[in-house]
Amino acid sequence: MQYRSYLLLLLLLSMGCKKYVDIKTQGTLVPGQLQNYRLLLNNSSNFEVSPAITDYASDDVQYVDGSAQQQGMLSSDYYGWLPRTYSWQAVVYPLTGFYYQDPNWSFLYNTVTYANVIIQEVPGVPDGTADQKNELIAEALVHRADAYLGLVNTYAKPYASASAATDPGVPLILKETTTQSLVRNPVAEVYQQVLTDLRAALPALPVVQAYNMFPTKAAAYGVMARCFLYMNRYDSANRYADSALSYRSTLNDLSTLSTITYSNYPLRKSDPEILLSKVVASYGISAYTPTAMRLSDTLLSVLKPNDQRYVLFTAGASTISSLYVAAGGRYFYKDRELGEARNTGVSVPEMMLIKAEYYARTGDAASAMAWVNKLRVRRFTAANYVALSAVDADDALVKVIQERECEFFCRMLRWWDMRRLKSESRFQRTVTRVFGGVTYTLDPSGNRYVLPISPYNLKLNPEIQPNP
Amino acid sequence: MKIFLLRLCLGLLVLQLTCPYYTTAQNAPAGRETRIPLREAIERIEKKFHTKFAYEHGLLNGKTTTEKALEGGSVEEVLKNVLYPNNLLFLYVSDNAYSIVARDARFFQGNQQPAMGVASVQQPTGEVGRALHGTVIDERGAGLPFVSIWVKGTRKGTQTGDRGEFSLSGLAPADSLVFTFVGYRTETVGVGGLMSMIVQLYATNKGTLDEVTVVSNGLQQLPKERATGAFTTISGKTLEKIPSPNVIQRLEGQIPGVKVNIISGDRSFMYTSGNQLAINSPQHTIARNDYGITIRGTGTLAAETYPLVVVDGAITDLDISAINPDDIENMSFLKDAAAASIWGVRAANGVIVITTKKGHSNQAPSISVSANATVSERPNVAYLRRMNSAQELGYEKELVDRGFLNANNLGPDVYSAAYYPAPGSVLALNLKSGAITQAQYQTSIDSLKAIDNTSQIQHYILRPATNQEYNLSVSGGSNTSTYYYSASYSKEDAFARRTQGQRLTLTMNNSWKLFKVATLSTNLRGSFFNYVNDGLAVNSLFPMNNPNVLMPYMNLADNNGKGISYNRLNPAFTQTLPNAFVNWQYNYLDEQANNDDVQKDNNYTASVNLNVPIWKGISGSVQYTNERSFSNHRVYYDPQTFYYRNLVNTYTDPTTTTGQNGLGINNNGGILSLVNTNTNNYALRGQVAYDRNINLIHQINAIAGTEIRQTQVGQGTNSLYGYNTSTGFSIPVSYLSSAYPSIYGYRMSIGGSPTQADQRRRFLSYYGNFAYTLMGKYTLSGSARYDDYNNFGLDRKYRATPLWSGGLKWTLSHEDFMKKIAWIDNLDVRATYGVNGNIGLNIYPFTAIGLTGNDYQTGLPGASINSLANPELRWEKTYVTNVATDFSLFSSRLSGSVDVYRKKGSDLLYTFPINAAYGGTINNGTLTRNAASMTGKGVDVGLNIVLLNDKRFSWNMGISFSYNVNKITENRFDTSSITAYYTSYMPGLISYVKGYAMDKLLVFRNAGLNANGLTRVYNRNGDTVSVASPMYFADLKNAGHTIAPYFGSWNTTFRWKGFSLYALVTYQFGGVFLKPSVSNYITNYYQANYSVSGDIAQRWQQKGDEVRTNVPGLNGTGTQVTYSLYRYQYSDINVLSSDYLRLREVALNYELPVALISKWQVKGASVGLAVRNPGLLWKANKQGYDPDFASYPNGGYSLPASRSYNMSVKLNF
Repeated sequence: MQYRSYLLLLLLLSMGCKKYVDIKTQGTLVPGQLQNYRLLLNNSSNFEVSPAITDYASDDVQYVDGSAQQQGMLSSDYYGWLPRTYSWQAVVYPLTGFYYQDPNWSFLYNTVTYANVIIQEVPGVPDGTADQKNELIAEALVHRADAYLGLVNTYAKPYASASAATDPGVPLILKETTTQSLVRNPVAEVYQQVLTDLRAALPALPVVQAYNMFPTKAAAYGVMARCFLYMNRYDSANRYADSALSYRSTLNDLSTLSTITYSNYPLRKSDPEILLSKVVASYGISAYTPTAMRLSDTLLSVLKPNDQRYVLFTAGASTISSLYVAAGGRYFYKDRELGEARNTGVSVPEMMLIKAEYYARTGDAASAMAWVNKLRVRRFTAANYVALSAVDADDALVKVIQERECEFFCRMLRWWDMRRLKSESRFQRTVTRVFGGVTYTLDPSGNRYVLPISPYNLKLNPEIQPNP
Repeated sequence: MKIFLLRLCLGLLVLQLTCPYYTTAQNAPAGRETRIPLREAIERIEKKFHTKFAYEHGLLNGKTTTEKALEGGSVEEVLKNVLYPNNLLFLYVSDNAYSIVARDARFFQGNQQPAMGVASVQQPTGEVGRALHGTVIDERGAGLPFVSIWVKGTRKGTQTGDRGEFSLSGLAPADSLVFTFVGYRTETVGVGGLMSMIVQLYATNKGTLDEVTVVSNGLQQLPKERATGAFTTISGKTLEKIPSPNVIQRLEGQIPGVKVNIISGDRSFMYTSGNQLAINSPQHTIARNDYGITIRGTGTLAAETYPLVVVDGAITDLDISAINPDDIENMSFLKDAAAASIWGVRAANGVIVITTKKGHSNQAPSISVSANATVSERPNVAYLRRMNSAQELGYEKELVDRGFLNANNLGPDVYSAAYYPAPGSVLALNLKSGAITQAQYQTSIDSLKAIDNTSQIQHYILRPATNQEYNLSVSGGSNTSTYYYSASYSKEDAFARRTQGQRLTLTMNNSWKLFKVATLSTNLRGSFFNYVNDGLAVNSLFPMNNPNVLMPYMNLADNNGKGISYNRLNPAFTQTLPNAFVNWQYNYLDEQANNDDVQKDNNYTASVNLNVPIWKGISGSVQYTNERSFSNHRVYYDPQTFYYRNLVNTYTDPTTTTGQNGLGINNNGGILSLVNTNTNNYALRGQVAYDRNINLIHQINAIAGTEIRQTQVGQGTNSLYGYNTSTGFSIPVSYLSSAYPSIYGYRMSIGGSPTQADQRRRFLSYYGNFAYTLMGKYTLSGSARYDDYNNFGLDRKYRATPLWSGGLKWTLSHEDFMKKIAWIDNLDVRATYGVNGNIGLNIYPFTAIGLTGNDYQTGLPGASINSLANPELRWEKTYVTNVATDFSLFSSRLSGSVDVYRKKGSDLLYTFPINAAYGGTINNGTLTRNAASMTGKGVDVGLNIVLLNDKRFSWNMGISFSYNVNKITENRFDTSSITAYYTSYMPGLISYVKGYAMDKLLVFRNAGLNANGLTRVYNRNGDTVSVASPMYFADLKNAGHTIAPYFGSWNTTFRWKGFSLYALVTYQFGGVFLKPSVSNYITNYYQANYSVSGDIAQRWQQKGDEVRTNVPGLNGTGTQVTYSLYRYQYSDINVLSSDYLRLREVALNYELPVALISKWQVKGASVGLAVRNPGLLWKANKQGYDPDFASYPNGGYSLPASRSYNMSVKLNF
């Protein structure tokens, strides 16, 4: 009889096992749970990115030819992108170098990829309420919008209403795919997509989030205001800046500080000024050799030593390296003082200066200067503070733009401003710099205000139209 | 059924099968001769034949024999004459050792002689067509499976089972049974009145050593003559010839098609990179840097490459070092689809089947004791070809003069830890800055130039490696059970002082016959390791990525033998630190003395197998195996260690005035770092087997089964700060961000927070295998397996896959027309085709979201996407075609096999780059797809030659020859997919190219140096190209294979009386390697990683040098110099042939004559002397490199094996 039981055992073994392998392994999440997507959004490094090497292309920065710092940049291919960006080369990440991948492109599209996964997969998740799902999707939409705004302002021509519908922008990837053609969508379409995403996101976004990495209503309005500003639609920009400020309008008071450290100055995640925290993609803290940003004469002509932003956020050459003393100058130092990368996301001061610019452009010099002074009173010690005034709207606009330089220097927006203002004759200027004995010029009518798409990405997808 | 079982049980209860023997038709000795006592006769036989007998006390009393009975040529013949008339039997125990037992009295009534030497019981008369049960045994008394038995003159027959047992029914007393088995003499036995019989078969030719008659695929045994697949079996006896505690060293060169690379020169079971299991790795991680084994080359680009190892029918995930080689009865290598596809998804790399030793039934306890000791010669540091002190100092001076090392390197801050240069560079920098005068510089340099630390490295860091091994085994069995117990202990000291390993293995193999029919077998194995990694490995003295290289002018100890301390940070900085900071210097000898790094591994395996015959050749078996391992890796950083001092200094505020480090720990306690890894794997298998011979025409062996298998790995890490070894106390720490002040001025978190990770994987499989043989000539085989694996997808259609094979075999020598050809003993041809699988354990068809721990800024739990959804993911498949012939000629004097195979891998997993627009930075901008394909082909030849074979001399030779090459066939790997950077500067790192082998080596055509000392190369048109200009794929040269396509071995054994001399020569041909040269030049101050390669001394230094040297100089920008060096490194001038003939082993063994030792109750004794690695007999490269150890000084490999000497003693009781 025992044999029969063995036989039975064998039969049992061969049946009923289908469920046996339906187990999951720790550390790997099986799709189908809302929580997974919350966890993805929590991973800030995937979303908190913005293009950043453009700071080196902007006129905030100026190096002394032949200096120790310049030698340092040339010492390794690792820093090759820096001199190439600084001298506005047609190729920043050449294929023949080891660093042929463009991290700006990769990290921004990484945010897009993550957002697409969330936007596409969350609706099908069986658990969770509709509100919970909508909130996750809304957050992803804001991140995607911000990423596309960054991409289009890096790899495409500045928005010009006349040509935006035909100027090549960047490929719009709005769903999970590995096969879609990467033909570049026109600039106008990309901007439109940014606005569409933000509008879709707004209803479900919360008013308050625990950290600045997570989008709120204020953040979405802030990105929208920035988007309209770079579309030169100042009235809309002003309107959405108002909306953003209605949720958050706190400013850090620099007037009483003598130095900043992580203990007396808020970190990015909880800085009340920041509406949506974003940092430079991949490059981290700048203020080390040889990537430290040496402030240009142009910038120092408006950013005066009595400005608290000069006192607190910049440092002398000796602080960077004893070898740099010879070349002298002043360096951006805020990120190293705080031990974290610099914010490039939308902020309260940005909203205030958008409003100021709107008033200046609509002829209301007094209101413009009122908004500028509202900011400046927190940026100078009481002893050094002098309220600014403008003789007329044009003067007000110049002062607003100068204030933007002082407020956002070395934090991405100066390059964006140079792009949008180059078509306005009063701000038009040819920047020249000397590097390695060669003089380079940045012509407002030239092609170099647009960053090249890396040869590597062009090779992977030849349908991408290269920038001239 | 019931009645049958009853009868079966009854019959077997009555008939005790105890007495194996065989006899020819020898008549009883004639009477009327002088009777002599049997005891005296036995003693005389012992003397005459140098044999040894064991028997029960009193067994011989009162028994006699005659003088005439003692005449006879062989011991067996004499024993038969002497013992059989006394109703005694002899059992073979080992060479020249027998035990004498009594025949069961019930078997014999009175003086009745067994007919044809068959033990019998008279059947009650009158019954017609009764059943007969029996066993067929070999000379050693072990059951012989697959013996064909037929009733003479009829087509009725059967074959023996696993243990040689058989039963036949419907027999008449007049019938005769014919027993045939390849390699054995055919015997015919009359049935007469017997109900049971034991038949012993003798091998036809004893000269064919270790002739394999049965092969195992791990799940079933097959007679070799009916196996269609490519099996190669190596016996434990052959493995014994090389005395190494790890079987991997014993396998080198022995099996055609199997390549064993021994990369570690001084270790067998302890490994250079530690033995830590990597929990998330998809591949076998242990010992990857110490040895490699591939069966018929590599067939995958990204998945597991290690062959599957099966021990006694169960998959093991332990490294092969856990097996005591002396426990191995035999090993089978399953090389083609027909052999391996029964193992399903992991069989693509081939399968290694290990069968451990078992006891034999009816065997008196046999005890075997052995000991051996190995000592090697001193390792040779000079092999690394470093620069001498003067050359190194000259190189450093040039680095400073050219500004590659500059004032930044002397930055007086904590960051100097990353780039504070070597002493010679500091002097040169001080000279340049004017801090010291030329005269001061010269004085210092001159004293450094006089130093050569080679002898100090030899003396303080290294020693001769040694190894000791002790083995004890006991085996035996009764008629209902067998046992084999063994224990072994090994201890080895590596080249590095204070690096040592110990291993203890225990094995208990038992089997019992239950209810006379069922067999219950248990295997219990334990292996226990203790590794002490306290030494300084040679390659750790020359790190690749930091400036802390031991320069030739840096002595380890002063004249008093006291260790010398060196700065790792700028002393101008450390001297300014307050007294809370401890000494921040590094002292090699103190580190060596203070290291405390111990890993203890305990591995247990238990396996239970129940085999039950069910009905007419059908049997069922159930096997349960559980394998558990417990690994504890404990590193204690004493307060004197650099690690500890560096850590507490890092976590201290440079402005502190408290005199306390920031962590609040003091010198009473160090830091204890723990890694605990546990595995718990089980498998449960049910299998039905069918073995039947129908009418002598149809022979069927088939199995079908199902298996569930789970592997579970857990790994936990922890660190205890301020751990006091005597009290066990430690201080609580905070792992929160910004928890502690740091020397950098801001607050930081500390590492070492407790972690735990668990991985569980489940497999469900169904499998079947059959072999059908028609008339002993034509065999058809097939197998199929269906695997299902939990991680591979949510939907069964993604995760389950069927794998199959089919084969044919034609045994020509069994054809009538071949039987006339006398010199052919055996000849067959066989062909198989099938598909093997392989899996990547960490890829998923859905968006794989993996936890990343807490976000570094917010502390909230986070996750990231490990891989994009890829619904098209499938298992890798390798289609294998194998065509082969086996032959045995001239009375087995020449035997062997030739296999020709072709492999076609498709759906191979590979990560291809994709645009970040699709996948961002996920998987570094790549996507894993089942998109690659490749082919492989090769030939395996194994030959055995018996040159001489008689009583005093024998001379055998074994030759193994293998050829294996592969080619990438995937279009995605066309040349346009290669990044220009690689074709321009790093052609050696170009991964795969369509039409090229996986192991191709692409290089530049060197055109010497230009006037500035920078490398020039030729493009396809023969024009010279400068460093700045790109190179294209067409400009490169394919230098050949880095894995030699032709390899194998030649071995020979010469025996004279008790002496035998064994030699093993391994060879490889057709491969190339890159000469170890300059690993890097320092081209920027923050990457001050010094190369110490002797080639640097040959570098271009001034104009005109380009005529005398090809080694580029430092004359250019950092990028130019770096790229110029790359072009030099990957130049055809550095390509050397890796061909060699290596004399791996010479062993002399002496078997003591039994007469000499028998008085101490010893049945066998031998002593051996062996020399391992006597050296390369011949090598193609003239520069003196051993191609298996061609490493850069900073290359991460160990020194080549030095010659070692082994002495061994073995005793059998």
